[in-house]
Amino acid sequence: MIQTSNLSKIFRTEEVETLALTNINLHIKKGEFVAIMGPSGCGKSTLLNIIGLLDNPSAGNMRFLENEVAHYSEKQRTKLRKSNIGFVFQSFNLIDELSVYENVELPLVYQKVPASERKRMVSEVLKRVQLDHRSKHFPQQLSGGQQQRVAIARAVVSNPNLILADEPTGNLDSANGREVMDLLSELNQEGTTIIMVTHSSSDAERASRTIQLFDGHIVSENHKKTLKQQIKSEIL
Amino acid sequence: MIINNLKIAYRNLIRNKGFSLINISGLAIGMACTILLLLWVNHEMSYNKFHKDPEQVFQVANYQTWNGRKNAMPNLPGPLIDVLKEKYPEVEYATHFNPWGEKLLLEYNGVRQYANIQCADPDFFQIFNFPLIQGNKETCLNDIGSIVLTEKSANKIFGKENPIGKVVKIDNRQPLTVTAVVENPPTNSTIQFEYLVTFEMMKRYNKWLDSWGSHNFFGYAKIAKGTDISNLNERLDQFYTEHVEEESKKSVFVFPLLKRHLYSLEYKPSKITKVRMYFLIAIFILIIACFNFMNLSTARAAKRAKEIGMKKTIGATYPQLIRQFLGESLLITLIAANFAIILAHFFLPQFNTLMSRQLEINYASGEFWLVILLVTAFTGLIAGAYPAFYLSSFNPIMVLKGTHTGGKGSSKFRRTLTVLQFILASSLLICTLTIVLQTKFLSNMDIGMNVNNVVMVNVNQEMHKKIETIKSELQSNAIVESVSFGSHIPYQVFNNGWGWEWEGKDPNYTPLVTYPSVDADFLDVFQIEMAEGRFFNKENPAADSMCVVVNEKFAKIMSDESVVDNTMRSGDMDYRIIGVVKDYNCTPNNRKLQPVLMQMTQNINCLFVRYTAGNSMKTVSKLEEVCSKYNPDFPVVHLFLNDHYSQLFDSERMTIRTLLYASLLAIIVSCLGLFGLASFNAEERTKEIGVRKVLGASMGQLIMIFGKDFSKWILISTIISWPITYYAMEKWFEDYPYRIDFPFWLFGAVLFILLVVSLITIGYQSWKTATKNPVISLKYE
Repeated sequence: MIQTSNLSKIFRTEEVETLALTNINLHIKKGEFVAIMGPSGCGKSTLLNIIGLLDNPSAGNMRFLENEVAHYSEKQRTKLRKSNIGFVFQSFNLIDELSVYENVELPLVYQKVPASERKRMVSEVLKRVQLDHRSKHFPQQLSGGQQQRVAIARAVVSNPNLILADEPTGNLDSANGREVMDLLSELNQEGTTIIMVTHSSSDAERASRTIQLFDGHIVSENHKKTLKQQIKSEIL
Repeated sequence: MIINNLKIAYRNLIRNKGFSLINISGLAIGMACTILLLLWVNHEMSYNKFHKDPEQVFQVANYQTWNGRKNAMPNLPGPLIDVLKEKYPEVEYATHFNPWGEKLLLEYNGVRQYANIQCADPDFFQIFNFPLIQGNKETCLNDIGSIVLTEKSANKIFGKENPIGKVVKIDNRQPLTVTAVVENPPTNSTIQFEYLVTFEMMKRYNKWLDSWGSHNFFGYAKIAKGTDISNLNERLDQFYTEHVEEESKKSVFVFPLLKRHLYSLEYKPSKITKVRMYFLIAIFILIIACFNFMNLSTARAAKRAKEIGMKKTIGATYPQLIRQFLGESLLITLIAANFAIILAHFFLPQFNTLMSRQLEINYASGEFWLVILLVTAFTGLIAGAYPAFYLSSFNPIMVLKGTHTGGKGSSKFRRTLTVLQFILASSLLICTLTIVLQTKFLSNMDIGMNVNNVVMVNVNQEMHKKIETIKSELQSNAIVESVSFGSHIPYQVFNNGWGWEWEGKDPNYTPLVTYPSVDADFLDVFQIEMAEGRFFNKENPAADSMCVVVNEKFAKIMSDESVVDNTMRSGDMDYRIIGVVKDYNCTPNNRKLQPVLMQMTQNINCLFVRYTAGNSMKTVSKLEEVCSKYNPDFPVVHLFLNDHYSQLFDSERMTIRTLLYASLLAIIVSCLGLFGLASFNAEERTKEIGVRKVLGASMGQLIMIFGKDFSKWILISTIISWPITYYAMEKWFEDYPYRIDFPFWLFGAVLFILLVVSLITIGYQSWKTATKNPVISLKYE
């Protein structure tokens, strides 16, 4: 689904040049749940932004769903992004002026989905995150966990191929965090590819693969055994 | 999507009530001013357009050459119109018209009132489109004994009675029959009248109206369709030499009535300059209001950043976001437009007083709504464009990471806007206050005469015959100090001319001399002093009939030495100068000291009475008693000269009022801009303030940080305005020979006023930021 080769990102200001990512080679298959971990400033979010087509790499290549996207224009990226990628952020980033329903509806509006279809899709997804009774509320009237569930609903409402989550539990207490992670795992089991940046190792345990980043390099990659593989190894 | 954007816009408005209020009120004030000014501009541009075939209607005027210069003059001699009509076939209709009229007594059913009687020819209603309510427009001025009334004047005389066929009497002798009632001339008509009689009737009153030498009328003509006007004017150039006298320095031309209100007869811009200026001011005010909108919108950008970032992330394109923000500003402008219409409606009477107009808003006219729509669209787009591009260009990664900061460029832009606004506010305020001081100086100035305790009545023909008797009877009264009669109120002498010669005069030099006619008591009544020689002889006035008295200014023009006993010549008559009076102001309206030459009374229009202080009402009743005795058929109308003199400054007072309103508005609008800047600054510096507070800064110190920053900009704006206003005011002072020194202290005073006002404006914002809990301020990061 996603393949990067020698992907690098350099941030330049007038005086300093910062190498945020160096020669990242990554292959993510459809249906994977990948966690990206590493200390602050190691380039996790930069990588996520590039994978999420919010930003272009400075060097290297990236294929996204069979498209070579490294040199895509903003317009091309937007087009590809809006129908294929859903985003979940640590700070939820819900639009305060819109109700729960309207927030979730927004991606469909930009994809020009007809109104009746939108209504059906939004209700379905809100039911799924168990917030259908809150659809008329505004973000500030909800708890943090509820807000993040709305953000997830917004990310998945258009059935994207990929969900990018940037520390989705970072602003939540453990109970709410668990709820959110359950939801993400569920989505992954249903076939959605998920890439998640996190500091929490317990959250990372939910992923099938964990990538460790340090100073813009990938330093390790751990494949978690599937349930089948685990049982097999235990029998052996 | 539109609904979605509207929802966001609406909820933003409701949530940020303070900002919305400032934004909407700023725009509404600006738009209301613009609507009012455009209403005025439209009115001025619409002059005389209501006539039928207005492009065929022309004013007939003439050129007169003096001092080698060709001057276009509207005044025509009486016989000209008839010759024009007879000899030039393309002139379909032509009429005389006297725009000022004559104040004559009009009587009906024993009720007498003074009326301003004007005259015209039977063609008048063929040329101009003044719809008749009653009567026949083709015949109503045919009969010499006809009078045409307007609705207003008919109501004044007849009330509910039907005026047609009724007979009124003019000046107690001439009966006239009402033949028609016309609608009141609209305010956008150059031709204004209330009582119209025939030119032939006026001629009966004044024989000189029939002479080629006396220019007393305006003339208008309707020229056949398709006439080549420049060709006609070429032929009219020979009018005098062909039809009047072989050698003449005069010629005739026609001037389009449609241009008459906006241009002078020499096609020089007159009112059009003011129209253009006011149009520019209207646009300028709108742009200033837009500046504030931009200022406030970009200042609030941080609050919208998350929304923009998120929308971009989930697929909104740049044009979609621009459309959203433009839509928002249009929505706000639309709301402001509604308030603007209400404001304009509410302030229209005040505006009318200010502009001396009777403008109305025609809510049924499509044109009005079109203008509103255009103003709204213009404002919405101008105000919305910058914020829309600015906001839409946010980088979603930065925004969502919370590392977005407003660009340095945009904050410079906002600061420049505010400085510009304050330059304007400061300039306006300094100019206004300078004009206030100058006007105060002029109205309190020693004008070389004393008009206090002097009452005046107009002298008609009956009184004229018995003027000496009336004078001596009044003089015999103890409360009367002195009595004089003459041609003009001494500070308002409109009688002037060329043609005086004296020994040693440069033959090419022909000064315009003001000459009032006076009697020997003139100096006593007005307490004007002699500089040299003597005034006219009270005991034997006839002995001084060939003598003149001049003022100091004229004496100085004639010679550096004494001019007393010198001889002056006018035509073939010699006059001896017997004295020089100290300069006094004979024409306060242009305030330029004129050369004055006084002669013993030839024409008497005014009777002046100086009374002892505190006896005004007694004097008036005495005056009425004496005048009624010798002139029983005419009511006596008196005028206190000090009141009258002070009224001459009404137009200055009006200018001052306009400027004061404009300054106030400029200050309010600038403060709105400042408020925007202050709130932006406060937001930008939240972290800094938090850190300072944690490190121990006091509230006062924190507020001072803001105060110092803004005071600097106010100071810069004011200093920039100093040379501008100094230059502008010195230019303005050129028209005033009597003037104050430039009040430099105003620079300091205005700076102080603006500093106080602006510190109050930013005080709230600074206080709010300074009192924020530092923990919250720092968490904001």
